[in-house]
Amino acid sequence: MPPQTQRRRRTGHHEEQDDNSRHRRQSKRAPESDDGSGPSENDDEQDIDMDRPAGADNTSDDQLVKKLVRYALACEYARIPIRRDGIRDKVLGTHARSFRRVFDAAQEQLQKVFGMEMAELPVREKRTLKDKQKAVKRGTSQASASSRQYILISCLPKEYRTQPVIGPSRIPSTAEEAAYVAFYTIVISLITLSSGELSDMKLRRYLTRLNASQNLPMDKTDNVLQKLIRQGYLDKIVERVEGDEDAITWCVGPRGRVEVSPQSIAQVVSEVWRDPPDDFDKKLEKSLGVRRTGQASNTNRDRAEEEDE
Amino acid sequence: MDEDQDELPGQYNDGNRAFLQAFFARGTMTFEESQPILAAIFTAQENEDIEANQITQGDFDSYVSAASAAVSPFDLEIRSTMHQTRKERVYAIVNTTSDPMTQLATLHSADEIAFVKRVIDAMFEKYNTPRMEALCLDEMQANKLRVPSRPENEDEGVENGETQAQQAPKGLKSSEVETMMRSMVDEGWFERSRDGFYCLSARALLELRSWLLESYNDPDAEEGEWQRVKFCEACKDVVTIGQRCTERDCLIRLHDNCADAFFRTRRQRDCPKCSKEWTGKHFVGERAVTETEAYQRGRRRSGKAARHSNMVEEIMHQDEEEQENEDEGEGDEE
Repeated sequence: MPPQTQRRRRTGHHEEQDDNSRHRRQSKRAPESDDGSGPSENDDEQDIDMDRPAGADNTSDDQLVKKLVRYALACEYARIPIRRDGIRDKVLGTHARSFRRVFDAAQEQLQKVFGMEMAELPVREKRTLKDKQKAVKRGTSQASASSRQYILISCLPKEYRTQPVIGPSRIPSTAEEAAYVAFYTIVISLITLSSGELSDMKLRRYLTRLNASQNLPMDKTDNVLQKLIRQGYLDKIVERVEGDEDAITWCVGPRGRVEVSPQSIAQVVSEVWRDPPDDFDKKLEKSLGVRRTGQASNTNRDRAEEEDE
Repeated sequence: MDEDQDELPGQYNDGNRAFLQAFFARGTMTFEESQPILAAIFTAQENEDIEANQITQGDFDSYVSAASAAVSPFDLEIRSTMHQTRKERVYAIVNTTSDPMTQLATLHSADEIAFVKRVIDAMFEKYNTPRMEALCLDEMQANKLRVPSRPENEDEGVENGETQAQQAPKGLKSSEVETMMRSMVDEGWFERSRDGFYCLSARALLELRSWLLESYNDPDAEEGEWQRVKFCEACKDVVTIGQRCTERDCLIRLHDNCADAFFRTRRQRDCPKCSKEWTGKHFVGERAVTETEAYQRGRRRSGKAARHSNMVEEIMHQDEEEQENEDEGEGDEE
């Protein structure tokens, strides 16, 4: 489904939201909908439960919303994107047609209760010449495709995004997570400021200067880079060059682009510079293609509101 | 976007959401840990600096109860328990259902999960006998569990009630055992003591409480029969570290913290059931091992190296043998 339609449909939020809270209260009153506390619970029963027969339609919609919210939280925990196919398999089951309705209601709950929302990941860009040619042949343009993948991002206002509140997760350990976040933020900043791509050689040179060429606190640098690719923070593009070594280019991956916004990069850069020269802001804006004056982290909010119009 | 106030309690706002996010990232929270977080939230809300020490227990309680109400529709619950050794209450977000979704939430492979299951089994079965309720194990013992003993048939998963054991079970390498045990500590499921024993953390006890009961206790047990999971006479939470009655067959157990308060309200320091004197010298948890003469002797002899020897295993094993002989002496717990 093209993103266009998705956005339009979002206008339906408010009515649906009311409907939904009614369902919620109903289900709270009906203790038999409590499907999990029994000692014999297992996956199969859960599946059956999802396909609860008609007649309990309201409640089942409600169950689906709950499942989707839990699925989203679980995916984020492992830094796996929330895939639309995954939602279909693990959440909707036979109710595949309710996708939009359930998705919107779950989005609503995530925002209202957790201060988070599912943000669609951008499509992996076609970087190599070959890929681009292939795309042209197939007649698909980059703009129209949807990645069908989402990640959870915080939609809290900036004031709440202070270190004590959103400090690093304790999984796998606070120190390791902090180091990991710091590392990918730096690498993504470097790539972004080099107009979106960095040759392998240049990246390695930067890493050497950071004394991170071989090892990082958690693992070998190469392993960490692999993990960053796997989790979508970075993209590594390998182009075969005849009679020569492969040309390797590093780009920012879809998760990286959503999680590490130009605004965060601007903050990192300012922090590194401390005492910036006069035309610093202007140059930074230009490199990042952003306005730096406004409330940086509100962009997600703003975007959501624009979409609602 | 304005809030739909009519189903979330009171003024559920961004502050509550921020608190919930912080809670999620940490998994557990104590009042003390919450202070800087709430201070930052209040600072953001009130536009003036609030210091961590201005945050009261009441502030914390109200945020916890709001968060708890907000997440309950998603089969999540905030439960709390007194930490068995530190004197503080630990709060944790607990999953009240297990479903395929939760499986994703574990970052470990099926083999690793199976290993953790074996470790917990060992804590509650092998190293938890009427004579010696150690309920913990050291690294040497964990290492012995790295390979599954026999093909597991319909084993239940640790926290997921899953069916992951379907592929041929593989073991872990020694080095992986070490990493795995460490990451279980880092992730807050196990705690490691100064003497190198691993036991379940407060969070694990909260999350696994009903699972532990199901897995290790016999629902048809007679009144007064020894059960693997036991509860504190005072606070009714699970005891894996604490004190036990001098009488071996008496089932009264108390947490160390609870014992003090418990006997303050009684005239005599004796067991509420069998009235034997409560010495506080009979233990549940690692002290059931470390307070034995054999352990003390071994440590004096080998110093720090004790950690890498089989001594603990020998002490626990010896205990098993004695038990099989069913001697009726008071035993080697002192």
